[in-house]
Order: sequence, then structure tokens, then C-alpha cells
Amino acid sequence: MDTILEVKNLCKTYIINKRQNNVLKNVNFSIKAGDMTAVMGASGSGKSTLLYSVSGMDNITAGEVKFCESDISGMDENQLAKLRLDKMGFIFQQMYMMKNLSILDNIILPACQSQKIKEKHSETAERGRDLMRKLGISDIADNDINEVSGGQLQRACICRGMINKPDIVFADEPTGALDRTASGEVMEELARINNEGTTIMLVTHDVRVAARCTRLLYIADGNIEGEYNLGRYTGSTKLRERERQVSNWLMEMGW
Amino acid sequence: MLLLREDNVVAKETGAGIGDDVEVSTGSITKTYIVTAVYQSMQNMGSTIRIFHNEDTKGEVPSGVLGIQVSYNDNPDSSLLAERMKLLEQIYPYNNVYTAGGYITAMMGNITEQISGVKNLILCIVFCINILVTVLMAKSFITKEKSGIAILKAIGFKNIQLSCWQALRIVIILFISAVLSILLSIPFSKLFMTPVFRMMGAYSIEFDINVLEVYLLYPFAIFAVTSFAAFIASQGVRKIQASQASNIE
Repeated sequence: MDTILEVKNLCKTYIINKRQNNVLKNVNFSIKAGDMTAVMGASGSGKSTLLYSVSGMDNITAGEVKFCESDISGMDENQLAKLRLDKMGFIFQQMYMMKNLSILDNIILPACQSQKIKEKHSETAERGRDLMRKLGISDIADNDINEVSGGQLQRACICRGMINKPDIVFADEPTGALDRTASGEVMEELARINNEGTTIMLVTHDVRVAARCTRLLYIADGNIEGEYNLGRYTGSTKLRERERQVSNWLMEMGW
Repeated sequence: MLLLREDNVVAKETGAGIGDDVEVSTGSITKTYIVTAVYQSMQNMGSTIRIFHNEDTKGEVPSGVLGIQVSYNDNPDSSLLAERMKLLEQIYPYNNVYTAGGYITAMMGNITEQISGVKNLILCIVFCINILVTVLMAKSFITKEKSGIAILKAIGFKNIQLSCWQALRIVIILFISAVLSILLSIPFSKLFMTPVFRMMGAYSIEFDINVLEVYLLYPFAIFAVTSFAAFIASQGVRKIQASQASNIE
């Protein structure tokens, strides 16, 4: 399996009120194509900072981040924007979409902006509808964002993250704002997408979310303290067992 | 014979119309005249009459005469007119001698020059107000849409695209406003200015429009300055980081 993301000695420092805050300290890890990696840790451990640093959304202080064998740490803002548009997908905890666009228009917005896939607008819209069908939300294509539930909106955000056929999808607490049922539905979709070949790196504090991932990374005090290989998630029948394994491992890690 | 106008102030006050006999008292002499025509004037707030030019007025001593109008029958050119004006100045050393246009200017205070100076000042004030309002509006839009801008940056939109989006919204509205203003400027000018001139006695006004200024120069200047302000203010999107997409409320 190819290495899609390689991080070496990554450091991230914030200066707040003239005080230096070393959020990430010499972080080293890699993600292979097809992995679904969950980064877990206590609040304030640097999980989200790690995600934003390796995805080019935030500048790093030191170290090297190689994405598809290209060093992104030296790229300028425009290059990073193009990289994020063409090769990465993003899912955030807060399911923000543009208020004046329909669900479908929001989903295909990155595709209309990107020149990665040359196609007509109608073809882009059809691809968007196709993605919505796969995620079971084809009936809300023309709805306003206020006319759908949280679970539907998050699945629409997943579609938006997938529309440009990214090499990797980054998700920051994708189920953080959802109830248990909606969380389960969203994670099943993410797991299915991963099983179809999409690499996913997500940040979570939810054991139920982590149990569906193939690999776990534990971050504490700005460093990767541990790694656990869960193996590929094949269905909800083994979920309880996987949750137990994750919980036990987290306890060993000291969480 | 008298020249009045049915909406002339004197005609309204006296109720006189064309064909009516009116009595005019000048000093101690009273004469009867027939009204033959009507006109309008801005002199003396429109309250004027004109007596037939061949009338013998040597015997009357009109009071409060502001001026004597001399009309030459031989159509003198400007140089001959200037010579004659000098001659009149020598004959009447205690009086001022004007051409017809010069007399109006002296009476009305040269409005054109006064307006020209104020016009430029008003234009500068309009520029300042437009810039201020545009900058405030652009900043408030950016603040209100901070989350959306962060998300758009996260998914790959560049700063220039986002700032053009923010500026273009203002520019489009500005363009529509400019077109509407051009179309409505003449009707509204007539609507608001005609009553003002009517108060001064002029009932039929023709507007001499400076096409270059009204339709091109000033709209373009305001459009350019405001668009520039919108674009500069929209650069505020650069301060928003893509990582702020996680801080949406």
C-alpha cells in the first residue's frame, strides 16, 4: 500500500500573549492509502491542530509534511488552496453550508471551482446526485439547508468532501454535533467510503467512532504516544467487540 | 400695450389677460394700456411688466429704476458694441454699463461660477461618504460570514476569489444604482427644481444638460471610487484562516 501522508518531526507553536505554546512536538507518523485513521486524545492534546497542520490549513512551525510525496510545508497559500481543492476532502464538526445555495449546489461547489475533472455543469450535478444517492440523501437535493436534519446535513457535507474524488478525507469530529442515531449512520457511511478505497483521517474523542476505523493514534501533550491497529471494519456485528478493544487500549494509554 | 403672462405674478394679482385694459401709474401720471402678450421673468421675483418699446416715457419719472436697456437697431458687432459701451461710460460716469448677459450676471450673482465651486466640494463629500459606507458594509459582511469564508478557504478557495466575491456583490448593486440614477436624474431634477424656479417667477425652464458630466464623468467617478473601496475592504478575507472553520458557532 502506498504512503499517502508522511509526517516527520512536525512542530507547531502558537504565540499567545507573548507566551509560547508548543502544541505539537516532533510528531512522526504516516498514513497509507486506504487507511481510516482516528486520532484520539484528551481535550487540548493537539488533535485538531495536528489535523489542520497536515492538511495545509495551518502553517507548521518546523518539520516536514509529505502528501503524495510532495512536501507541503514549503507551499504558499495558493498552492495549498489548490491542493486542498483537488486532492483533499474536509468534513467538520459544525455542518456549515452556504445559506443561499441548495444542498446539491453546496455539494458541487468545490467541483465547480476545481479544474481537476473537466466536465459540464450538468455532469457535475449528476455526479453530485449520484453521491447523494449512495449516501441515502437523494431526496434533499433541492432543499434549503434549514430544511434538513443534522444527520442529513452531515452526509451532505461528506458528499461535498468527496465530490472532487480526493486522495484523502480529513474529518474533525464528524459526529460531534449529532445524536447517537445520526452518528451511527454517518460513521457507517464513512466506513463504507473507506472500504471502497478512500483514505480517511479523522479526529474524535468518541469510542464508537474510533471503533469503525482501521488504525488509531493516541496523542498526548503534543506527541503521538501510541498506535493501535484495529483492522478493517466489516460491519456492525463486530462493533461491540471493537469498541471494547478501543476502550481497553485507551485505558492503557492513560486516558 | 402691455406684455404680461397668464401665470405671470402681476397678471395673477390683477386678473388681467390678453386684450384687457389696465391702468399703470408712474409717479403722478396714470395711463391706460391694452395687454397684448404675456411673458415670464426672474427679475424682481417675476413681478414685472414691459411697456411697448416706442412708448414715450420722457415725461415720467419712474422711481426705483434699476437700469435703462439700450437696444441698437444696426446690429453692431462686439468691437463696435464695446466702443459704444465706452462712450456711454464717458457720458454717464456715475453709472455702470453692461451687456445684457453681463447685467444678468451682476444681478444674479454669477450662479454658474458659484455652483461650479460647490459642485466639486459636493463630489468630494459624496466620495468620502461612499468610501466610508462601503468599507463598513464590506467589513460587516465579512464578519457575519466569517464561518463561510473559513469553510470556503478550507475546501480550496483562494483569497483573491473570496475577495472578488465579496467586492463583486457591492459592485453589482453599485452598477444597478448608477444606471437607475442616470435614468432618473433628469425627471427628478425637473420634479424638484421646477417649483424652485417657479417661486422666482420662471414657469418654463429648459434644462441644459452637460451630457459628459451627468451621464459619463460623475457616474463613472463615483463607480470607480466606490468599487476600489469595496475591493480594498474585501481584502479583510485574508485575515480569516481556514483552520477557523472549526470555530463555527
